[in-house]
Amino acid sequence: MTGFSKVAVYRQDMPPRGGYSPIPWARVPSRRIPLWPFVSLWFASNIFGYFYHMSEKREYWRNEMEMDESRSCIEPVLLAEQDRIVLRQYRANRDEETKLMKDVPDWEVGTWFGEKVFKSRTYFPDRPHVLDYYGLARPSTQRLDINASQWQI
Amino acid sequence: MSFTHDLKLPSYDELECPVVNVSSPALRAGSFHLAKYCDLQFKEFMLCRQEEQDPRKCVKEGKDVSLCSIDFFRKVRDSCNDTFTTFWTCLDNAREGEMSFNYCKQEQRAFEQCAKDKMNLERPEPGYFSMVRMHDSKRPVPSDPFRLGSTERHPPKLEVPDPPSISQANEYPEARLGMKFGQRKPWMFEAKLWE
Repeated sequence: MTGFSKVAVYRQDMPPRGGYSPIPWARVPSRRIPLWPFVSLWFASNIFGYFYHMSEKREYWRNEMEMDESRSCIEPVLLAEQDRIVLRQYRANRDEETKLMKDVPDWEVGTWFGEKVFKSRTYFPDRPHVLDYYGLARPSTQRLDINASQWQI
Repeated sequence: MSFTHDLKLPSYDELECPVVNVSSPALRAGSFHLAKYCDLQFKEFMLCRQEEQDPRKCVKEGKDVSLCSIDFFRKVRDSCNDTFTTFWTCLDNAREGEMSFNYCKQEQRAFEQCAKDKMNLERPEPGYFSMVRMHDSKRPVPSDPFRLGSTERHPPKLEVPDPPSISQANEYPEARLGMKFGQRKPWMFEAKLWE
């Protein structure tokens, strides 16, 4: 080449003496916790829990039975009182109806102008009906039994 | 409302009876011993009620029931009042508000012990009242328990007119009263029962 008399001095970026240290390329698995303690705990809790649950269920149903039995023991007392109250109310309703409909012509007590509710045979209900009991009451009293199925307000 | 004067209703004097003046937690507290003490009267009343299906025919048995229960609570008050009162107040203030027995076991045991000692009343074992119990009573078997009225299997048919049909609605507006369950537009909200 023409015109080159001097060579420039520069420093090259070379690897260190002895070469680079080796690159770690092997796999490093993560730290793991063992599975067997958890599985065995779960299994043991299952077994223990089964027997505990069975005994608790038995106890629960024993208590439920006791409540039901106490209710059926009390039933005759309440039923007797309810029957008397209801019969008294029926009587009062019938008397009130006679008083109210005394002046209405062709009205017979307990019928719709002579047309009976039960036509072929007489019937007395063993369970009180809302319409029979509250029939002649004021609406605020009727609304007291609002959960009864056939009561329209 | 549908009771005519032909129907026999008991008079006010026949229905006179003292009231069991006991609150509901006290009733629940004494229920087992009460059923043991008044067993006969309870069974008679329930048998009568089930056979006759008529409250008018079981007024006397009902009175026996009420009088016996009043007698029982009087006895409890005379002999076992303290334990009984603690028991039913505990039931009243029980945790879930349902008067359940499993929060008041201690008081229950105390009351049962007192009942056994002083009143000589033992509470039957827990499953006793759930079982079917037989009862033999001197009352005669009712003659017409199913309210047949006549012994004929098919009593004579009465002349009851048929309800009006839907096609007659426009011609006879007064027949709409009989059409309670049949309307022209049953699927619409504006279906009126009567004007």
